[in-house]
Amino acid sequence: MKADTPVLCLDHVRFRHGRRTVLHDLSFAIHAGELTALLGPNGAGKTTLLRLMLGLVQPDTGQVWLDGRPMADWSRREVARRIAYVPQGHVPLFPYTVRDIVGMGRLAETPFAPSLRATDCSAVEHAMAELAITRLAGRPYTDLSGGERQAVLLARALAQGARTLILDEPETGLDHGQKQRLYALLRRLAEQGHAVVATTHDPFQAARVFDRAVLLRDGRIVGDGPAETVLCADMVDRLYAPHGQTAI
Amino acid sequence: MRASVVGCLCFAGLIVVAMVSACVGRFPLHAGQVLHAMLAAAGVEPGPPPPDADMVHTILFGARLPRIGGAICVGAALSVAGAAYQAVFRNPLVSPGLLGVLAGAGTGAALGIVWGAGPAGVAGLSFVGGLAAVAFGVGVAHMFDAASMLMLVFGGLISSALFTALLSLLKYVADPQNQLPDIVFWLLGSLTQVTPRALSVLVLPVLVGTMLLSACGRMLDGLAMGDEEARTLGIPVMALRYGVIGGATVLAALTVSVAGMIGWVGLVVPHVARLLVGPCNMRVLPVSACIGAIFLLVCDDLARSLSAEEIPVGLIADLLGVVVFVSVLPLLRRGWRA
Repeated sequence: MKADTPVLCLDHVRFRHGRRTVLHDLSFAIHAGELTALLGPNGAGKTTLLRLMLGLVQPDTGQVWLDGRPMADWSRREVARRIAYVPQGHVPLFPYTVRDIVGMGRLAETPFAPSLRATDCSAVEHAMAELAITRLAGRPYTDLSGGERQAVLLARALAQGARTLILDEPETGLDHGQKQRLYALLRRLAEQGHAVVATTHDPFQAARVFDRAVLLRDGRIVGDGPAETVLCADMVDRLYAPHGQTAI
Repeated sequence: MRASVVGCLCFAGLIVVAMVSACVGRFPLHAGQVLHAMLAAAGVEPGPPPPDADMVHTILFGARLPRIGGAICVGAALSVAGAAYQAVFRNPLVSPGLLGVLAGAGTGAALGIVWGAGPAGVAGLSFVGGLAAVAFGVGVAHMFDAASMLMLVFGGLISSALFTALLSLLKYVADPQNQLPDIVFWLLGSLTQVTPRALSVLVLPVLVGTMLLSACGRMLDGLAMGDEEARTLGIPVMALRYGVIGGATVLAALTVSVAGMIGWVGLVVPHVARLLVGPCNMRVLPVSACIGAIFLLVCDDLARSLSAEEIPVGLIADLLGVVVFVSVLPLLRRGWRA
């Protein structure tokens, strides 16, 4: 299933925040058709790693490669056509409808057009159908439940038409059924040739669902391989073990 | 579908209000006289000229139509600038004055008056003052943290404070017999200064500015999701933010340079527009322009006809703005979630 050339590749990446080094000399590659879970305790550098992969920040040393070119050489539009991001659900100030929000996924294609073109509209409708939220299309996003909002943001990412999907804790706020449907969808996307990377706080679920797990602790990769193998009970205990005298 | 109907209705409303505005004033004209004079000016002779045709022509083309044009341009420009600022700062309580453009333009105009520059000089200095104040505010923000919106607001606050102080200084040193009243009257906001020539300078930038800012409407919607998310959607956030701030600032500074300080409009009108067509900026910006134009036309009609002496339109706009804002406030809760 793995394609030979990685879609996204981190090459000896180091990232500092002020004087603190958040990520130390990280190297790994993301391939099409692969479902990758990113795990680690809070503060391990997961969010920073996602931001690096999205090109929102540049590494201090090392290089992030996207489709064989350094990330910094791509424009924001070109990155958006290749990588879509599903943030944790949030509430904007203005009550955009679900269709408006999903339509924002087409901004990289037609930033200045007064309205969506026919191809954009069909991408939007297709994405909403994929997530089974077509019935919500006219509802204000601000009125939706957490799970529905997550589905809308996922639909927006699909409408973007990117080959790589990066999700930040996508199962937050979902009930058991919604989680199962989310994982089934991610699996289907991977089978269609997408590269999917998601951070998660649920190692046991991740071991069952994901192809691969990357474990991050203190800004270093401490485990990388098939999810079932890497996420054994012993590894998980060590990954989340407290530092010294930490209370929780 | 519904939004486009609202848009057409707003535009039709604007034309009707403009026609009515041509009739009201110190010398009331009736629609027949206005129509006759306009047709005659267009080269169509609709019938024998009425006895007062010359007077009607003078009132209409010398005074009333430039003023109507001025009110439309100023109202539209302020409202579009306000809507654009609100989108860029993701805050419905933002007005075009946030980054100091109004304080700066007021200071520039006062400087022109104290200096004894003519009307054109005052207008020019006012425009430059507005741009300078925003440039100063943005510069202060850049000295600390360019990417932070909070810093930008702080920069605006500092710039407003500085230019308000400079304005006070100019008032203090101005000749109390003739310069000070001029400054005060000018700051109240008035459309009496709008000549056909000033109007011709105003029309094109307002039209182009409104169209350019509206064209950024969908990207501004994306900006509502937050800076980082907007970037992952392919939006060049910093370029968009500064481009839109620049455009909206030019529009706001232009209005001050021809009509003095007319506040509120830029804050109130976008709310009404959002209430009518929803939050999408592609529709909010042009509809704001239409409603702002109607609003200021009505204000100017009242300013011209409420009493024998003309009342400054800025004053009427503030009062009427308060009435409109308070009356739509209960409905606005649908328009945003604070």
